[in-house]
Amino acid sequence: MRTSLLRSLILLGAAAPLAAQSENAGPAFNGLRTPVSPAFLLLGVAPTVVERPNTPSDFALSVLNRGASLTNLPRDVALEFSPYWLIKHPTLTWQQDATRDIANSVARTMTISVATAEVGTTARPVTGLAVGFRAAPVSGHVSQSSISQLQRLGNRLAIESAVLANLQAQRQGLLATVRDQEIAAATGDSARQAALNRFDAARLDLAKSVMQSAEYKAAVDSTEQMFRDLAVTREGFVLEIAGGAALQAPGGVADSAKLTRWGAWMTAGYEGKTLSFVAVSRVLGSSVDTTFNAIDLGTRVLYTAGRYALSAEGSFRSFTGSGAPANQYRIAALVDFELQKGVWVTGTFGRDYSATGPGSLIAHIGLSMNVAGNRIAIPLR
Amino acid sequence: MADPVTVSKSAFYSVKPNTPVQLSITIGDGQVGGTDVRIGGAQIGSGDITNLPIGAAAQDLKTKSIDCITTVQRQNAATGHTSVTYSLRGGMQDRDFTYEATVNQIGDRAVYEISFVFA
Repeated sequence: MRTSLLRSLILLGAAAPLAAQSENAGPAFNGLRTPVSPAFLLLGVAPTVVERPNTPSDFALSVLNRGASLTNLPRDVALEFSPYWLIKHPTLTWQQDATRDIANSVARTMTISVATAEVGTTARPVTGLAVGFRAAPVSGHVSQSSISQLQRLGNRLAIESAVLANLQAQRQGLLATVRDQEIAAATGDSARQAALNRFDAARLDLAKSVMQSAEYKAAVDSTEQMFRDLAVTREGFVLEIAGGAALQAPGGVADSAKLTRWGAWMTAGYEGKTLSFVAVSRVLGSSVDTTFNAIDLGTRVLYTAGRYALSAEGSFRSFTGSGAPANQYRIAALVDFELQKGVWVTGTFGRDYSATGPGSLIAHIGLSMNVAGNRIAIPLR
Repeated sequence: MADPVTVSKSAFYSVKPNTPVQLSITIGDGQVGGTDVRIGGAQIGSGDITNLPIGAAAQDLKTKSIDCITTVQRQNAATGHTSVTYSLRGGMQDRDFTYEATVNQIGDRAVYEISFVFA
């Protein structure tokens, strides 16, 4: 039975570049992918509020607010930041970021996550601390359609600028005349600079006033309508890596902290116009809970063509702790077909990890509504 | 949609007698934008601005000024920083003037109203 099922899935894959996936399919596979915030995952928390400082001063403030005492670990911290984007990059244009070498890709995609949480009991308080990182050494390139859209957007924003210039031309001309007279009459550099400053302040008020005009708002609204669905996408080969470690500190005492969990992830894939694939690997380890120790491998292929998508996925899990259960694997094929706009027929077939348990046979067919957004989730996003 | 963040700044740029200058504009931090450039109220450039000639051959630009409006829209999901660098070449010294603003959400705008008075 298993052999015939596997054979049929392979045949399906050969006939049509393997499987498709609706957004709510394949949660087991998605669980293996490189996590956005490894620290939160290893600590087992899902913070509702995550601090994401954008500047070095914001970052320093976040650390100072949480780290008042260096002997006790701060509690309920959820911090995520990108070292590269903490500082400004005035010479980096979007065109230069369309393609990246490995060093630039790592720098521009790296994020570091830090989390602490109370994981003990009232009687025996234990503070958990986790640190993780995520980066993409290879992050593909901006798609040609996105490049075209961004170029058109730039041109459109230039038109908005021209509308603004036209609307304030007359009054700005008067301000400039006054400025030039003041500069001509100025007797020193400070007086000349003061004339510029007065001009800047008056023009700022003028601009804010003009921005409330119906003509300017119409120009902005027009741009918004034209680019309502703009989403900058990258395609091509992508490689993501992530890692992290979690410690536990009884009583929240920093010196008592011991390593309890660690993990590493790697996701590699290719996203083309119609064909995409992704391969994932995950290694988890724990010094206190051997059931946590496992190695997972998985792959998925997705083919999309207009109104339908086919995908197939397979994953393998090996528990590495002593007395661990036998190796497990999971395979599934998915079909999505759009009957009419926003109405999809979805089919999922395969076997789950535990073939002997109830519900291990995966066989679902159903209708679903999806009137907004992309029905087919590209594996790499 | 939030109101645009507006930056209004001016600077002096020393020019050589009877010599035109060139203007280039760089929109940084991976954001998207477009510019309108005027001299005496007349448009002389729009869109991407690279080595835009300011003034005709042998024209003396002293006491003249140019007005630039650059609208930047946040499209970089990684940062809300926006920055525009105006590079002037051909004067007494080549100079870069960088201005910055921060916006919150994808799609938010920063409008830079920048003037250069030639001295």
